[in-house]
Amino acid sequence: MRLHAHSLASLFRHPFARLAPHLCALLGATVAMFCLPAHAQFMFRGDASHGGVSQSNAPRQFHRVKWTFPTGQRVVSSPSWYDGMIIFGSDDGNVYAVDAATGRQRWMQRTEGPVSSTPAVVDGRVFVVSYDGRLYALNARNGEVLWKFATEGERRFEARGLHGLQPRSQTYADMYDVFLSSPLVVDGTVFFGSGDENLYAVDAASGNLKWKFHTGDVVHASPAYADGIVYVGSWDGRLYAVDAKRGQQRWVFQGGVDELIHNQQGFQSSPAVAGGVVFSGCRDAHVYALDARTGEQKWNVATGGSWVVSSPAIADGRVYFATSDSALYQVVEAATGKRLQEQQTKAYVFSSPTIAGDVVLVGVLNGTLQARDKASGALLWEFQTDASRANRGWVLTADRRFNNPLLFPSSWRESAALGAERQMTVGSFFSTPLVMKGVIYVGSADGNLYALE
Amino acid sequence: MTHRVNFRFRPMLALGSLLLVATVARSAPDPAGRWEGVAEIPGAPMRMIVDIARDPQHKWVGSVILPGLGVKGAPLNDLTVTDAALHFGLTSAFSTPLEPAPAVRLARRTDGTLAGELHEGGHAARLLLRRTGPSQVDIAPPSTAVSAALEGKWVGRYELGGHPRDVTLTLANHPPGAARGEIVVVGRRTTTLRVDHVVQGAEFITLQSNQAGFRIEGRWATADGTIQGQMVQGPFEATLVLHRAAGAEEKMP
Repeated sequence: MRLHAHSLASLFRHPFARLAPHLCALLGATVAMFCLPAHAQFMFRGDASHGGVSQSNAPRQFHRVKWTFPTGQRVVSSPSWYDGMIIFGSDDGNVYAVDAATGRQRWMQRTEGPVSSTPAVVDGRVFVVSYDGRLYALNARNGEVLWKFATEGERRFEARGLHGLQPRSQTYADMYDVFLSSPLVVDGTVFFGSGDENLYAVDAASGNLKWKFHTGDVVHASPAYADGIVYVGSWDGRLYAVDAKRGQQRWVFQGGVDELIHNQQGFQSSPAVAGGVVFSGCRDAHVYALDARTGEQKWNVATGGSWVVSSPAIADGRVYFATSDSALYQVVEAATGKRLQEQQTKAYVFSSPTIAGDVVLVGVLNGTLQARDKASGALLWEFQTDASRANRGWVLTADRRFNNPLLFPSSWRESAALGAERQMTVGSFFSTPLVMKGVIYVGSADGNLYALE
Repeated sequence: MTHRVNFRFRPMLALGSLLLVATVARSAPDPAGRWEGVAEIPGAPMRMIVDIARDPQHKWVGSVILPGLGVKGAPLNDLTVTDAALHFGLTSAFSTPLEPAPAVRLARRTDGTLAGELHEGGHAARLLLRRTGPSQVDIAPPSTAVSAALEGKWVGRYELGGHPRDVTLTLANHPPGAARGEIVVVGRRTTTLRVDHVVQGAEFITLQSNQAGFRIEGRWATADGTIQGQMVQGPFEATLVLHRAAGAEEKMP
């Protein structure tokens, strides 16, 4: 993934890496991955600014499944890389390290809850959040636990009469609150959000709390960082800028609020920061561009009532994002928000676009991973899971849209939650793809981690 | 060209005719009745109970029950019965039907069953229905006419989630004595809804739009001539008082 300035600094600290700039310039981007030392940083969306740009190119043609690594539950976590290993979490409660070349397990570490966050791997340490309410620090070589940090406890976003479910006076947990906050690591501090409504800053070496910042609701977005400020959205409908050293609020941006059914509110999308602008999707059916220094809104793109859960990718003055219900892959101008591309993905997108060379990878909840031409948005190829092809119970229509009449026959009691669970049985891609050395690694709700080339 | 039939063969001809009649009768079981079976959707078989009957005008009508999908007595649309086949749509059975609309196509088989396919979401699943008893078609009560006091245009406002919505209701009687109407709701966007069902009682009126599951109900026989009630949509209810629109006078009988 793209290396932020901070990442480059750590790269150059490694003795081997002194030659890296020259070698990389000579050998090109794909070969450049071989230049990475073992301790390069990997985290959700690639780096601290969450740009979502890979340093490796994705193939423009699909050739084969290189290997498949099965786990015991769905994989919504996105893979990270460390020294030839793919490190990711599974909702079966384990953190896995898998040999990138062979797909064989190198190590596994158990937690006490689903691991629905993406591990950050920095300086030989893996930082990952589990539904057991703890941040884990693991030795990246063998998975050994270095320390655990306990929050006040995880929970999903919940509200009375959520999404119009009935009875209206009942409180429902949001079945689409699938991710946990993925840790961000900057200058020896681990930042992450929690279901206890806090943004935490924890010392990466000791696991000691540095500070915590309280928001008004669940924080399952992943924080982004630039120039001493941590940016994170909360399900209270606000996006916060917090001083990274002291944990004090710099500014807050208020997104939409839906007091009626709480459907059109909350930052589930994680922000990206580029060029002094914070970009974030929101469940209030907008993508926002905010001044990173002041929080002032520069522009917004309305998505016609459709959530923007996926996190935007930023490259070449463009913002790449995707929507849920309207199932659109969109590209807008970063400076103005002007629409440049719009393509139909057929089903909800929660996975975040990965830009890998001239290809953009988009995981779709209908169990397809789409590779699109970066310049035009045209579909280059699709990978479809076996579960999606089997389509048991007609979860998908013949053209791979969600068959909502069969999935959601009622708005009463747990019916909608059951429908949402059925949606995920087609091997939905919540996970955001990682591209390394031309190979795509991505998790699926069918429980597999796939290596595609 | 005519044929004379030899007398000796007449009994055989008669028998043959009888057999032919019997075969035709067997190949075309009376569609009227309750039919039950399972649509073989891979991984999630769907039980279906279909009732078919003739209405007083001898027109075929029917309804369907889909256990587990919350469907009881949804009317069959475009029900077509021929000597050999039976087709109907299931548009009303699903709250948000996809295109193409869900439908069932069945052959009337000689063994007295109905066999064919359920079409939904672009898929087709085998479906076999067997008669299990007499028909129990759920026939929705027809709309009533509305009194002259209610015909015309009404306006009101309700508030939901802190946002006001302006409502304009138009009601008119149409032959053969059933009211129809339209509801226009103006909030952040404008929504026009057809009134599918009207029931005016002695004091209470109910107006139902199937399109968005939107209902207006309330007392119409009020002292000040308003309709006092509420709008209902899924889990939401809000007070709604409808007044005669300015310039829209009550229609005199």
